[in-house]
Amino acid sequence: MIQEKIVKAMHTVAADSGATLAADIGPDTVLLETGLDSLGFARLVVHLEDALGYDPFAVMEEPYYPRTLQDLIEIYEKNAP
Amino acid sequence: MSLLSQIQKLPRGTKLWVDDTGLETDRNGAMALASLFRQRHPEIRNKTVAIVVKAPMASVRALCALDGFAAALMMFDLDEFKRAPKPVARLGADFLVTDDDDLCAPERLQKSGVRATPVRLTHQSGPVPEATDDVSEVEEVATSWVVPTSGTTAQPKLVGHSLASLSRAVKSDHRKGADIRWGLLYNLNRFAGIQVFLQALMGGSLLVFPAPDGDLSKSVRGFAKVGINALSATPTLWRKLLMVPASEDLDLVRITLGGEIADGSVLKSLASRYPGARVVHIYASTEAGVGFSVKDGLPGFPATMLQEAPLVDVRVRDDGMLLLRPKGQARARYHNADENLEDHEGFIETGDLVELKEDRYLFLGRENGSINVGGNKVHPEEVERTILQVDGVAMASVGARKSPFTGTLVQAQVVAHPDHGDPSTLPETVMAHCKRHLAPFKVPVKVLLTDAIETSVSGKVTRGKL
Repeated sequence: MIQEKIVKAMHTVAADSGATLAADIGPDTVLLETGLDSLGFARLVVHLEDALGYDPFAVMEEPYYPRTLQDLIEIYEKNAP
Repeated sequence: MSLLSQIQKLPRGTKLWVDDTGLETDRNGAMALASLFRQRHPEIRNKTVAIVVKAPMASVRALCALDGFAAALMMFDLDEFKRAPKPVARLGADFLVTDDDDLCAPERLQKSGVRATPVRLTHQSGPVPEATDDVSEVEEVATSWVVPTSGTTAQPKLVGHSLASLSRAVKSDHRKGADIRWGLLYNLNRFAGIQVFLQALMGGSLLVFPAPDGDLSKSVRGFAKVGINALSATPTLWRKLLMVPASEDLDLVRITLGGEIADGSVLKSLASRYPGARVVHIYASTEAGVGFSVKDGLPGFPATMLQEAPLVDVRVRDDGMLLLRPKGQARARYHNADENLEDHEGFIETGDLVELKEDRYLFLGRENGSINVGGNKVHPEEVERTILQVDGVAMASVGARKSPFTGTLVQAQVVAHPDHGDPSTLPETVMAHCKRHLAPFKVPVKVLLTDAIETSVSGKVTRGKL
């Protein structure tokens, strides 16, 4: 469920910034190979904060950097309010 | 002291550098190349030299020949030079040493307004010729290393360092250094890159060059293959690196951050990904050199640093400006300019504002308000001017907001003009306008509509702090 929302937001951010998103994005996709760069992911977090109502990175106690989409999904799931 | 004298102290056969293709240079090779170059080009002795090459291997081989031989040297990236040759003219270079055939044609240089004489580097990228151990016995010159500041607004300033002022913080315990293999992620032409180069060389450690064209994933895979165990980078680069899957294959024992404010999340993330590593945040500037290092893994620096920093005197002015004064004799000065780098007491303004919270100073940002978005600098004034072009905007204020991926992001507040109809669509219009007129990293990620924006006594917009 969160996965769908994240991928949808990725499409919005990509369209917004003129980036081309990779065709198949699944849990194992490496984030830096999706077509979004660091700035794209920074925008994604802001976008998702509006859509979901929270920013998991602001509340994470043990911060870590996601490498794959699955990592990112888990960050959003584990830190949901 | 010169690079060659430092190299001579290393055990025979010490490997110095290896690039992404596997090309290596060892101690004897570096000395042989330097000797050969000096014999071939006596005209360069005591002159000002620009090193304009593409690969870091060519740069470092040329450095060893030129330090102690040229009066002043400065490194340039070949592509950067082809786009903007002016800095070489500002350096006042007499000679331009290069491995690029195109630049060796005198007309080519004249066309770019550079009056330097081209000198072709040979053996700078291929294997080293027959190695000898004999360094030509000419008296060494105290070479000035010219380094550009990162330059937020106008053109960067050129700062002249000595090898001594650059290597102030370098540890040269060859026994410990022999077990360390450094990866280079910084640009070798800037202060931070030179630091890594000197630490590796003077510490007797191998330095591994990255893949060309800034391909981070490829560089990290190359680093893992060679087995680097020490790496220095900006917080921006570390954030990116932590997202690269191959970063898991790195077995790091030394991690250094510098060049930007290191926040708590990047420091903690590094500590948990690399539990065996010592994470050190270095505070340095091109003008002041290395200031101090913070080793407790927390953002900012302990207030005791004001009394205890070994290399510099640290002072915080009433307005929060951080000042540094190098303790030793080795100081930098501006190259080709009369302007003073230090105040009358010898302190250098860093441009960084700090605030004391309990027993720790935390960084608030740059005095000039510039925002660092993933390594790119944004001036709030430029974004505010762009926003004010939008019909219906009465006032605008641009500030920073934190981001895990880029450190900070640009955010804007706008006040609608009272005569403007429905203000609710204004943020969208502002965003669209900014997208059309600004580089992507300058476009606010959020535009908030507000009733009033605070102004200072002088009538300027007061910008929010981080």
